[in-house]
Amino acid sequence: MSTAFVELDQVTKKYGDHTVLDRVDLAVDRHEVVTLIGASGSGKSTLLRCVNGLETIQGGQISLNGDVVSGEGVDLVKLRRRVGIVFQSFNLFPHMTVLRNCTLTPVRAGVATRDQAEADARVMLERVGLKDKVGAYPDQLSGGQQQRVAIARAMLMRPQVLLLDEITSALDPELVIEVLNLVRELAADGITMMMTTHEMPFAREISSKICFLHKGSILEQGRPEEIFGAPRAPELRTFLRKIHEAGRD
Amino acid sequence: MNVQASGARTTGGPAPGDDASEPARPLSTRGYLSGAAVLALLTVVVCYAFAGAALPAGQPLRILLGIVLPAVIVGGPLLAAYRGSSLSDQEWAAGRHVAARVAAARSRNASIASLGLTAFIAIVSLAGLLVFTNDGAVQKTFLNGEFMVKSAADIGKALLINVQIAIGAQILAMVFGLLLAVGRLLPGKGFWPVRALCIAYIDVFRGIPSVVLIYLVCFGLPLTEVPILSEGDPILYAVVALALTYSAYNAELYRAGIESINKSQTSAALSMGLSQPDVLRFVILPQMSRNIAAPMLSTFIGLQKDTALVIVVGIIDAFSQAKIYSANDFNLSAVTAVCFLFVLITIPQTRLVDYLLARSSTRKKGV
Repeated sequence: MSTAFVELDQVTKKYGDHTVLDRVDLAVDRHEVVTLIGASGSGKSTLLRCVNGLETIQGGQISLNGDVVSGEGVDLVKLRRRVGIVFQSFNLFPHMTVLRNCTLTPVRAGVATRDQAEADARVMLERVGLKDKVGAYPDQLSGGQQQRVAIARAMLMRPQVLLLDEITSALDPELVIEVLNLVRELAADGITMMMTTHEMPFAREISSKICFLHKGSILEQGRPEEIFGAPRAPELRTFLRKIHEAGRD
Repeated sequence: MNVQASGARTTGGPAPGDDASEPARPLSTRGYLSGAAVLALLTVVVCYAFAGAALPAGQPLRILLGIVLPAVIVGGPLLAAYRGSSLSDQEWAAGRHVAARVAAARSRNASIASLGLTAFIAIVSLAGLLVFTNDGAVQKTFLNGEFMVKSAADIGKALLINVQIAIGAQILAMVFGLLLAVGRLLPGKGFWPVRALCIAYIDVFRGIPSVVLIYLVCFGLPLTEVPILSEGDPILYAVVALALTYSAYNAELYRAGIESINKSQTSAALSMGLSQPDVLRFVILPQMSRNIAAPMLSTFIGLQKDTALVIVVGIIDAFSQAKIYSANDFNLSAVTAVCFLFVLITIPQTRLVDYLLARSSTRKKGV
């Protein structure tokens, strides 16, 4: 039996006749940071959504800490409480204050009482540098601040795995750094993470493993220095060359 | 690109901003000014006619209120428009082109202000003329204060029936409409019979005129002699009949409101581990309710007005009471009083929703 914390075994995802993920195998160990890279449409985001149970898979199996979490009969609500996800477009609830955004799920899930959840949220928001924004509404925050709230909101459920889906893509360049710094801290704390990003220097810096997706398949995976230093797959070399030409490496 | 640009310059005459080109003249003010002047003149004529019909007193007062007063009111902006137009011509002749354009713009603005003010006065005067024409026949028929006062107490009491029916039906229609909307939006193949049933209900009950449904329910159910169903109060039947119709309207409002919420909100809420009912309760419905508040109020106002349809089944509501008075007095002023009462009820509701929406928006933006 595998010792991987998150394991994808021959995972296939289709939308109608279109195959988005084609027999993907991937293993993520506890405390690892695994980054998925690849061109738009290669299946990176879909893979993360499958791990969170937001997408159903048509083949293969996903397991988390030894439990199979895909297929019929899986309690998706329980799964999602174990797997946090942060989206590119923040997706905060605009009618709720920052504090309420952070306490809603812990309270409803029975993870904490309202008082405890609020106390935890205040601590977490202080950690992400937003202590003075607890009463603000998302519209009143910058993109970087909203994304930090989204990360805090996900972390308050104490997820076993945190999925970060292009979390800096919708941010102005000057706001990217504040979010990346927060992710660095989480990685240093040993949070198991899977993320997709176009920030290659950042991926190289904090990832334990990089996976290159191409047309729904993982063509190559390895340590950052292997992927960026000695890429083998021609598609990966082409991808990295384009990244270099765009000045994003 | 540069080649094209230079080509255009050489073959198409002077380019904008070219020193050699003629400066652009100010936009014409003549059309606006002429239109405002003609309308002002017509308005004074209407005002004079109105004053003549409304004031049986002597000529000086008629001239004062019918000619002098409207002329002074509309004359101000008209004069400003004329001055601006003249000034624009003078400035242009003096070579002060920017000042000419500014004066022309002011003239046009003053003409538009004059047009708006004149149109308002003309419409009000025409309405007044209609009321007082033919020796005040319209006023005596529809707006006779004596008949209005005489019927006011009974109409006021009867209006409570309309209010009861409206509130009862709205509560039922909001709850049942929400169930219909949620039923219609249930996902998955297994729920198709529920979806089909909800769609069929909405299609059918939106298509039946309220007055027909009131007639069928209020007269039909007692005739069935089915226990409980046939033993209701006519007012209760009216509430049910209107709720049946308006729940179908409300269901569509709810559906539009739910579908207007970005799918990413649902994804985010589900991804955090909220259950489907919690997503609906805490994320979708609060955002939806804000989106549909104004149209929901419009539907509710429609429902309030439709309560007057209960007259067909013999319930003595405000309209029915007023009709009794009007038949006895051979005068419709009591019915007009009902109109005023309905308007008095609905206007504060509209303002309240406007206020709540504005407050919510302001709070969210932190203004």
